[in-house]
Amino acid sequence: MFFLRIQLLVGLRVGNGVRMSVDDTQVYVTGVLYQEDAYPSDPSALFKLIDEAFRQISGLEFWELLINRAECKFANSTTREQLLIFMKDVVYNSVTFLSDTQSSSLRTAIINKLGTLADITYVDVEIRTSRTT
Amino acid sequence: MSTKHTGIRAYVYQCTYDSASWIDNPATMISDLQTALSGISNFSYNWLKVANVKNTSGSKIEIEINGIYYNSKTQLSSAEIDSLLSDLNTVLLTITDLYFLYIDICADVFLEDPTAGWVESWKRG
Repeated sequence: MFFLRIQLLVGLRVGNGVRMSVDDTQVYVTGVLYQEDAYPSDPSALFKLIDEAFRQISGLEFWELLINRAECKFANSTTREQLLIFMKDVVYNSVTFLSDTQSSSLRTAIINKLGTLADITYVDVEIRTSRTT
Repeated sequence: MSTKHTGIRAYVYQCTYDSASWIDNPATMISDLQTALSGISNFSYNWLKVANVKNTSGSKIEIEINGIYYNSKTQLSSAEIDSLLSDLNTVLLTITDLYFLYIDICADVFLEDPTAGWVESWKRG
């Protein structure tokens, strides 16, 4: 399967030179539990499940999908496993830098899709759309 | 034990710009930021990012200034970090359309003990 990576390059004049800017959108799903486990023994199964699910969302393309598993130790000496799903270089309806309305639409689409996956629970879905120059 | 800070980046959190918590076209905001930051003496950076963030708490704008050079250095003392934080606060307050809650400066800290390695340090103002 091939995915077209699109980055909007905009020339901004700064002093005597031109600085390029790059637009990017990322999606974070935080506080994930897979089969009620924050540290699943088979992360490949989780990856396959969410990859197939997210690719069914109309208008959504993404260049990278990552699962981050971490064991976090806190100042009070407690330890907690945390699981994060992370999409990079997201394009939604051919747009890289999303408007307020577009980001709400994407967030709703992801929440609705996650709601169909009985094995996954989560705390929050965060959309981050940025311009770097 | 003295420390040096390097890999310095600044984050400006809980921003609104022109009374909006989401910027559909950040060009003017970026231009304002570039102009304000140019007012800091002996200061430069590698890149500047304006990010719209939406989660269950609502929308907010964040600013990241990465790869900071200050006083022609990328390694700063704790006193210089304090000075940088003050300078950033001063110039950002000159942007009339920008409101922000706080600034974080994040740096990798090298303890001058070769066995100590690197840790991450935050300074909030």
